[in-house]
Amino acid sequence: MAFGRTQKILTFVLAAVAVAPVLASGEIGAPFGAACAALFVAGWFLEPPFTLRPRFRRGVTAVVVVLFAVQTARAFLGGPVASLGMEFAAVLLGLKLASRGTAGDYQQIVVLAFLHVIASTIVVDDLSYAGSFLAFVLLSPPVLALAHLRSEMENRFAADPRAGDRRMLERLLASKRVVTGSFLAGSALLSLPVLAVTAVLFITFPRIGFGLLGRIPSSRSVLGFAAEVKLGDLELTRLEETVLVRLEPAVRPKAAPDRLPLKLRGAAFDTYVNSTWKQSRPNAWTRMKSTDNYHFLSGLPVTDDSASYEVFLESMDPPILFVPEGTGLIVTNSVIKAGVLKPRSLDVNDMGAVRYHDDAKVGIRYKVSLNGSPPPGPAPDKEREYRSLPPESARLAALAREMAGAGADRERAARLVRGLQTRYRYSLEPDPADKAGGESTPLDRFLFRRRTGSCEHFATALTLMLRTVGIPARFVTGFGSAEWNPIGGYYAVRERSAHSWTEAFIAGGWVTLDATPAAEGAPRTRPSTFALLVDALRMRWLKHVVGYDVASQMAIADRVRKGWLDLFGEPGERDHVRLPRWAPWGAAGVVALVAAVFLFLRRRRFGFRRAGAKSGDRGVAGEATRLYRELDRRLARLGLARPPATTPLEHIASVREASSPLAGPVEEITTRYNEARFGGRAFEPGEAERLRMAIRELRARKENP
Amino acid sequence: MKQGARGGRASGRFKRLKRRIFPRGLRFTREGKVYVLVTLGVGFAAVNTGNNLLFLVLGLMLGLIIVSGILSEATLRGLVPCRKCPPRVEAGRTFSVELSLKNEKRRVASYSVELRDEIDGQPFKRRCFFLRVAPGEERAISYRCELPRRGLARFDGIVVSTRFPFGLFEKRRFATFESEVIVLPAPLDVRLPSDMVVHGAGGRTAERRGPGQDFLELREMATGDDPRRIHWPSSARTGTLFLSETEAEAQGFVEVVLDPAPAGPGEDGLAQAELNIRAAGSLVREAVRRGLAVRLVTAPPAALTAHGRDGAVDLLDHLALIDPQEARASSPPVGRSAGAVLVGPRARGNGVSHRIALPRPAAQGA
Repeated sequence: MAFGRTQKILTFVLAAVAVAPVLASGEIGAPFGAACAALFVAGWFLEPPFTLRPRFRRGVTAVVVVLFAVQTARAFLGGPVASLGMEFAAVLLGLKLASRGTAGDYQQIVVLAFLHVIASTIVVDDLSYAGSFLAFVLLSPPVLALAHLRSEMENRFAADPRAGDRRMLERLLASKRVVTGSFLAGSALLSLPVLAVTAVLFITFPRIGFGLLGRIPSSRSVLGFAAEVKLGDLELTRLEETVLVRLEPAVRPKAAPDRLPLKLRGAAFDTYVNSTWKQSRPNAWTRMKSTDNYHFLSGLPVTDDSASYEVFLESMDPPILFVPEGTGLIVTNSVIKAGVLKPRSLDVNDMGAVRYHDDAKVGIRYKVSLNGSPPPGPAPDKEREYRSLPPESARLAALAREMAGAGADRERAARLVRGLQTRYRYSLEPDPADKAGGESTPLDRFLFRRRTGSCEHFATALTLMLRTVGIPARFVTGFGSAEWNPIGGYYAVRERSAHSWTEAFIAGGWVTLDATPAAEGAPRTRPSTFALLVDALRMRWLKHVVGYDVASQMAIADRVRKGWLDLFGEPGERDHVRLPRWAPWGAAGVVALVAAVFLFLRRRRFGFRRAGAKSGDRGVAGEATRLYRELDRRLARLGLARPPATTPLEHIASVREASSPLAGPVEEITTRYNEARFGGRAFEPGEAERLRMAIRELRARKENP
Repeated sequence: MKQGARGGRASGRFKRLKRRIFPRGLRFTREGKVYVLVTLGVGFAAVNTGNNLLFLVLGLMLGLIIVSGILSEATLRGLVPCRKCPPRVEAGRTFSVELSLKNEKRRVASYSVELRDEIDGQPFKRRCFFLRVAPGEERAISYRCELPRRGLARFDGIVVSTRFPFGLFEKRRFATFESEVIVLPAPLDVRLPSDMVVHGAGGRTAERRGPGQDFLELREMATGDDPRRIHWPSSARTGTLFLSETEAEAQGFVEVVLDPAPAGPGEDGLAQAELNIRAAGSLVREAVRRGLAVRLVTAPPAALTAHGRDGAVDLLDHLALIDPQEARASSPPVGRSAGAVLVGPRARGNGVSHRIALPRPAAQGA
C-alpha cells in the first residue's frame, strides 16, 4: 500500500481508538462529541493541498483559539476543568485530523491521541479502556514509525523549495516500496515486546500513592441500599443486567450449579413509614472490630475448612459491602494512605450492615469466610425495638394473628412464612395503582386485593406481621442468587438478582426468614458464551489491573521468594512452600527458550565464521551463497533441480547436456558464484543485482528461448 | 600539514578509546526530550495517585523507549558503509564524495539511515540520507565537499546514525574507514616570466606524444600512420600492427625557488607564506601546461624535478604538505640553475633571477 494512504488509515484508526473511551465515558458534552465525530468524517475527505492553504489553516487556528477561550470562560464560571479540557482536546484532535497536511500535523495527532489515552485513565477503568489500550499498543509502533519517516522525508526532500524536491516527496508518499507488508507486520509485532515490557514494569513499579491527585469520582448508583428504600425501588434495580458483585470460590467446585441461591446481605431497615423503609439512626456507623485487615462479624471461630470466597465489588453508591449469609470474617487488603501502608477500615451499623470508604471509586476486593454465623447485629433494646408499625395496620394485624396462630415464636414465624408463600403469588408485574395513587397503600393492595407482588411486598408484609404478633423483625436488602461463570470460575451477581427478606429476633438470636415464593413461569435464559467471556475478561481486568495494589505486589514477591526457597532453600525451609502446578513446565519452557536463543545465536556466529574462513570475506561469500541458493530454488521450480550429491560445475554440465536454453545464464551465475565464494573476487557495484534479475528472468527465458 | 587539525594526538587516542568502550552514541532529539518529559510527568502522576491505568500508560511509554533502542540497534547492525573520493583535490574547490551503504542483513531492511564523514576528527556538515536499504541491497549517494586549506585531509571514518523507529533518539556508530586526500594549494593568478625559461634543454621530456628519444607507449596502427614506426616484435607476437610512440622532449626548463617560511610573526606571516606556496604551485602548473620541465627548490632543503604531469603531481604533493614553521628553522633555499623564479623573501638564485611580487594577504585572500 502507498505510504501516504497507509499512514492516513493507521493514524485515523489510532485517533479513533484513543478518543473512543473518552467519548463513551459521558464526560464530554454531546455537542462536543458530535463535533469531534463530524471532524473525523470531514478529515477523511480533506486532503492536501487544500489543507495546506494559508486561509484554511488560519481558519482552523481561529477556531482553536475561540474554543480555548470558551472553555476557559466555562472553567471560570465553575465548570469541571477536567471535562472541559477533555472536550477541548477531543475537538482539537478532530481539527488536527481535518487539517493534516504535513509530518508535523501527523506527529501532533499522535501526541493528542497519547494525551487522550492518559486522560481516559481518570474517567474510565472498565473493559473498554482495556480494549482501547491494547489497540493503541498494537497501532502506536507503526504510526509512530510512519510519522518519523514522513518527517525525515519532508526534512530531506521538501525543506528545499525547489519543485524537483517536492515532486520527489510526492513520489515517495505514493510509493509502495517504502511501507511493505513486512514493515507493517514487523512494526505490529513490536506490540508484543512493548506489551511484555509494559507488563513487567506494571508489575514491578512500587504502588505508593500520595493522593495529591485523583480520579474523577464516578460510581454506579444502585437503588435499594441507601438509608431509605421505597417499596418498588428494588424492582427498578432488577431491570438491570449489570454484574455488580463477583464471588470467586477459594476452591473451584467440581460441579458448580448454574444458579447459586444465596443471601448476599447489604442494608437493613427498622422503620416503615409511608411505604418506605428507613433507618431510624442512619448515621449510627462505628468502626468495625478488627485486627489488621481481619474484620470479625461474629464471635464464632473461623476454621481452615470454612467455605470462603474472594469478593470483587464494583464501585457503587452507596458503598455498601455485600456479605454472604453465615459470614464470620471479612479480610481486606491494606491501602496506601499518604505513602504509608495501612490496614483498611470498615464501618458497621447496629443492624449489621457494613460499609467501606471508596474515595478512589474503584470498588473493593475482599475475602469472606463462612462459618454459619447468624445475621449480625445486637439484640433489640429500648433504643431500637424493631416493633414499630405503621398507623394503617389494623387489617394487617388481624391477618397476621389469623395466619400465625398460637405457639412459640419460631412456630408462629414459620406459619407466617408458609402462609404468605402459599396464599400469595410472586410477580414482577408492577401494580398500575402504584402510579395512579389512591387511598390504599401498596402493602394493602398486595395483601388484600392483588395478592401478587415482588419480594419487597413479601418481605415487608412478613416483617410487619412478625412485629404485629410481637416478634422483633427488620427488613433486609441484598442479592438472592448468583450465576456461575464457567469461563472465569466465579459466581456473578447481577443487579437483576436484587432481593429483600426478613430477619427476626427469635430465641435470643437473629434468624433469616424469606417469605418470597419461587417465581413462576419460564426460567431466565442463561447468558451467551460471549457474554460470559466478556464478563470473565472484565473480572480479570478488574482483579489484575485496576485492582492491582501493594498487597498483590507483596503476594507476588512472596510467591517468588517461596519458589526460590523451594528450589534452592534448606530442607527445613521447603516444608511450607507450595509451588504452582505449572511451575515445572514454566521453568522447562524458560530453559528451552534460552537454549533455543543461545543455539540460534551460536549457529549464526559459526555460519559467519565458516563463510569467512573459506572466502576471506564473509560479505562476498555470503552474497554469492545467497545468490546461488536462489538459483537452486528457481531451477528446482523449473524442473532442473540439482541433486544433493552434484557439484555446481557438474550441474552446469548436466544442464548443458539437456540442451536447455537456460545453460548460458546458469553457467554465468555458477561461474561467478565459484569466483566469489571460493576465489574471494568481489562483485562489481550492481553486479549482484544484475545476476539476481537474471535468475528471476529464467522462467521467461525458458518459455521464450 | 594536517587539514583542520584541532585536537591533538591525545584527544584522538581518547576518542578511539571511548569508541572502543562505548561503540554506540546516543542523543536525544527534540521530540525525544518532550517524550521523556511527558513520561516523567505520567510517572509522577502514577506514583502520586496510585492509579493503575496510569502505571499501565507509563509502562507503555517506557516500553516504547526500550523497543526504540532495540530497533535502532537492529537498524544499525549489518550496515557496511563505504566511501569513494579522489586522492587529490584543490583547496577551496568542490569535489564529489560518494558514500555507499550496504545492508548485509538477510531479512530486515534498514530505514532512515544517515551517513556522515568524519574528517580529521570532526564530523563533516553534509549528510547522506538513505530512506530504506533493503536486505542485501547496496545504495550510494554523493555529496559535494570542499576543503578550505591545503594539506593532508584524513577521512577517519563514517558515522552511521539513525533516528528510526520513532525519532525519539539518534543512535550512531562509528565505522572506521580511513582514507587520505591530499589537498593541493589553490591556484593563484601569477605568471611565469618568459625570460626565466631556459629553451631547448635536451634530455627532458614533457610526458606527451611527439618527436623524441624516450619510449612512451604502444598503440594500434591507424590509417595515415608512418609505417616506419611499426613496432615489429609486438606486431609479430599479436598478429596486429602496433605503432611505437615516443615522448616529446620538453620545450624548455624553469626553476622555481620557494621559501615557504613565514615572512613575519603571527597570522599575517603565515598567511603570506601560504600565498607564496600557492604562487609556487601555480607556477609549477603553468610550466607543465606549457610543456616545460620544472625544478622546485624549497626549504627545508629539497629539490624536485618534474618532467611532465606525473612529476608535477609529485611537486604539487610536496607543496601541499610543506610546513612553513619547519621551513623557518632551515636555511633559505638557493637556486641551482642560471635562471630562477624566486618566491618568498629569503629565496635566492644562482644567477639571473626573477622574484615574484605578491600582494598582501588581506588583498589577495587566503
